Amino acid sequence: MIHSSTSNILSKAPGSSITRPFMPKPKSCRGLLLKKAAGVMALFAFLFFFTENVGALNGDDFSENCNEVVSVVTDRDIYIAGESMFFNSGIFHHKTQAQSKIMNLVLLDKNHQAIYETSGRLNNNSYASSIYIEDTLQTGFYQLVGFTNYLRNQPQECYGHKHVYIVNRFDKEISHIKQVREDTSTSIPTLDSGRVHNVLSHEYQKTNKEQTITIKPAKTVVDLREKMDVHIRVNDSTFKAGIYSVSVSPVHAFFQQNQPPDKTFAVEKSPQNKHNRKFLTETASVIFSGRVWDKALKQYKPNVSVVLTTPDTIASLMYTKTNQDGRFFFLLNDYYLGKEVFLSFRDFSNHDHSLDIQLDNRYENTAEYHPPRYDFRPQTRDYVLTSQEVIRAVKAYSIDLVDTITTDKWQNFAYKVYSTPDHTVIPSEYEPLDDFMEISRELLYPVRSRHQDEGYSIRLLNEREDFAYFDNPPAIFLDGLLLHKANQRVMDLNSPQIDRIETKNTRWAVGDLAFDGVVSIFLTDDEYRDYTYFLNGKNVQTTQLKPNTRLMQPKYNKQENPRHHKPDLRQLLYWSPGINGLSDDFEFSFYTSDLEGNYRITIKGMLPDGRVIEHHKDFIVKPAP
Amino acid sequence: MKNNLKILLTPVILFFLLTNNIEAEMPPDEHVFNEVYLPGEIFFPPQAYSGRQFLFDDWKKGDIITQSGKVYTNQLLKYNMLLDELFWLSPGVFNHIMLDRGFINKFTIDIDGGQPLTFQKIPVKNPITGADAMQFAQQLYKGDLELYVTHHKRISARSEVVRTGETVSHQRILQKTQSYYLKNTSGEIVQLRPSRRSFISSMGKDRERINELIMAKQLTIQNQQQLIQAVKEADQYLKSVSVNPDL
Repeated sequence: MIHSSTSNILSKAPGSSITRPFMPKPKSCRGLLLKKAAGVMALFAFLFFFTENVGALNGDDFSENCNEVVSVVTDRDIYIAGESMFFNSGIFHHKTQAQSKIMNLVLLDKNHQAIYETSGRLNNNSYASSIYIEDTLQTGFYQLVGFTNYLRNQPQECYGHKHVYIVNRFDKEISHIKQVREDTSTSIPTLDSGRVHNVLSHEYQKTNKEQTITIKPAKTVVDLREKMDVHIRVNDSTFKAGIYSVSVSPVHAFFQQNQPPDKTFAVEKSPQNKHNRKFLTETASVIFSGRVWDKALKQYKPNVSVVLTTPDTIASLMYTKTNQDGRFFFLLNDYYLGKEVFLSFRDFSNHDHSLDIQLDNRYENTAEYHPPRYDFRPQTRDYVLTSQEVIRAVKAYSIDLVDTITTDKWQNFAYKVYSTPDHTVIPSEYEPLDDFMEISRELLYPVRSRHQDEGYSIRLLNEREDFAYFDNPPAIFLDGLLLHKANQRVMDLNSPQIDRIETKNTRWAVGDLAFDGVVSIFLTDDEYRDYTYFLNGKNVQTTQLKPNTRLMQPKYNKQENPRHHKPDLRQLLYWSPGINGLSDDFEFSFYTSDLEGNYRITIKGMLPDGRVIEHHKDFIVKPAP
Repeated sequence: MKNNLKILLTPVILFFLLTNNIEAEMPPDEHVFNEVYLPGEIFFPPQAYSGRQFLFDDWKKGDIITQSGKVYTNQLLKYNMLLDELFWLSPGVFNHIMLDRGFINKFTIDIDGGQPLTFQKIPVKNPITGADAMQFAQQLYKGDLELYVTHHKRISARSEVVRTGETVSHQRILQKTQSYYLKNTSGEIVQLRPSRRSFISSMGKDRERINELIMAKQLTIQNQQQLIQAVKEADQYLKSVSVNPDL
C-alpha cells in the first residue's frame, strides 16, 4: 500500500529531483550511478519527512497521535465539599506492545494547582475509585485529569479530562450559580437523550436513540427505598466496544446538555517524543525516576550508582545506575509503595558533594487549565443548598458510602541485604553501656570502632578468610537506611537507644555492589528521623496506589423491615464504573433512598476511536400516597 | 532498469516501514530494570581437595527463582556440590558470589542440547541430628509425586599426592554421593534407594496400591532411569485411581 502511495507522490511531483534518477541510464556510466544514489537518498529523506508529519496531517485521529487514550468519567458533575467523588478512568491502547497498568489522576483548581493526586492499578483497562472532597475546598470549577506515565511523553490531548463543579459546604452565596443566565430548557426531559462528541474536534453530534443506546427504567415514578430495575439496550454495534460507567443521581447534579466537551485546551499540542522517551511505560508497577545533577559541572551525570533504602526492621537495598541523560529508574514493588525511601550514592566521596538528586514529579501537568464558562440551571442553586444540608446530616450520622475493594498485591517483598546475620547482639540483655564504641568493644568482638582525627571508623573482622579486620569500612545500615560512614551521632548511640545490632562478617555483595561486611543497627524508636541530615541524598515518600472503591448500595425488604432506623441520605443511588464492552442488553437494579426528587440514569463511555458517548433517562422519586 | 529500481527502492521502503513503526515495535520497558538484587558472599571455595567441586566446571546460564517469587533469568551459575551452594557471576563487576541460600527457592541450569536441570530446596533430615536442613536437590520428576536427587561431594579419608612445581602435597579426595528423595501424595519427603522395596515403602498411604502396580507391571527398579520410570508410572496410576476409585 505504501509502495503505491509512494508512486503517486512521485508522479505528482513533476520536475522534482526525485524523479530524475529513474531516467534511463547509459551503460557503465559512473556519474549517473552517483546521481541515482543521490536521488534515492533524496527520496528517502522525502519519505521520512512525509511519514513523520502524517500524524500532524491527521490530527483528529487518536491512533495517530496517541498510543494510549484515557477517559475520565465521574458519577456527577456538581459536588459538595465533604462528600466523595466517584470516578472511572479507562484506557485504550493503540500500537504499544507495553501497556500501562498504572493510572494517575490529578484534581486541578482554577489556578492550576493540584488539589488531589492519586494513582491506582488498572483492572481490565479501568481504574475506578473515589476522591474524598475536603471540606476546605473553595467553590469553583475543578478539573480531574487522568494519564499514565507513558502518556507524559505524548500530547496532552491523549489525557482524560473531566470538569467538575465543587461547592464549599458553608458557601451559601454560590456566586457562580447566582449569576445564572436565563435558561429556557428548565423542564425535565422525559425522553432518552444522548450525544456523542469527538474529543479532539470539540464537536458534538446529537445521537438518535434508535441508532445508539436506549435506557428503559421499569417505572417513571418510584417510591422511597423501592427497588428500581433498569434495562439498557445497545442498538448500534459500534457502541458495544467501549468503556462505560453508569450512574443514577439527582438531575441537577449535572451540567446542562449544551456544554462544550470536557477537554478544553488552552495550550498547543505538546511535541511528540517518540524516539527519546523520558517516561517509561508502567507495565507492572510504579516507576520511581529522577536525575542526578552535577552542580560543579552543571550537567546531568551519567553512570552514577544511586541506592534506594527504606526504614524498616530489616536491611534492604535497591540500586541502579544513571543512564547517558543522567536519569535513573526504580521499578517499585508493593513493599516500597507509600513508604518513605532514602536515595543516596554508593560511591560517596567529597567530589560527590556536588551531586544532587532531582526527582520527577509523576503528577506534573504542564497544560494550563482554563475553567469553562458553563451555565447552570436555575434549579441548581436549590439543589446545591439542599445538598449542603444533606452532606451535613450525612456527616452527623457518620454515614460512609465508600467500600474499598481489596486486591492481591504485586510482588510485596523487600530486597533484603542478607537472610541471616552472622552475629546478633541485643544490648538490653546486658549491662547498659554509654556509647557504640563501648558496645562494640564489650559486646561485639567482630566490630572494631575507633576514634580518628578526621572522625570515626568502623571495621569488621573477616571471619571467612584470615581473621583480620577488613581494610575498608562496612555498609552501615541504621534502621534499614544506608549511611555512607560512621559519625558522631552513630557513635553516641547507647544501649537503651539500640534494639539490636546485626553483622555480616564476610565480603558481602548485593548484585554489583560489594561491601567489606555489613553492620545493621536497629533503634528502639523512630530516631532515624533525627538522623536524616547526615544521609547523603534525599528522602521522599513514594506513591501509594489507592485501591479501587465502589459505592455501598443497601437492599431493602419492605415486607420484613418497613422502616429502617437509620436514614438513607444517598444522593448517588447507583454507580457502576468500568464496564468494558456492553452486550446487547445490560440490566441492573438499585434501591432509592429517603431523598425524593428528580433523578437521572446516565451512561457515559469512551469508544476505542476516542469518541465519548453519553446517554441519560430521567425518573422521579417520591413517597407513595 | 525496472529491476534496478526495485532493488534500490526495497531497502528504502523497508527502512521507511521500520522507522514508522518504531513505537509499535518498541520492547517493553522492563529491559531498563535489569539490576539483579541477589545478595551473597564474595567467596572463592578452597582448592585443597582432589576432584571436582562443581557440577559443571564452566559457568552455565540459568534462572533463579527467589523465595519471594522474583525470577532472575539468564544468569551465569555454578552449583558447588561440596558446599551445597549456588555460585553466581555478577554481570557488572564479575564478582564470584556464593548466593545467600536463604533467598533461593529454585534455580535451573541450562545444559547443551538438553532440558535445563531444575534444582529446588527440599527439607532433608540430618542423619546425625535428625533435624531438617534445606538442601538443593535436582528435580527428576514432577507430578503429584516428585522425585529428587542430591548431588553431593564429601571429603573422603583417602588422599592422593599432588605435585605443583616443587611442592608436593597430599590432597583429600572428594567422593560423590547421590541420594534420592520422593515427595509422596501425603507431602512427605522420604529418602529412598533405587530398589522395589525402598520405592514401595516411600509411598506412605499408597504403598499397597503401588505394590499391586509393581506386581502387575513387573517393574524393575535398579538404577536412576528405572526409578524415574517407576515414579512416572505410579503417578499416572494414582491419578487414574483418584478419578475412578473402582480401579
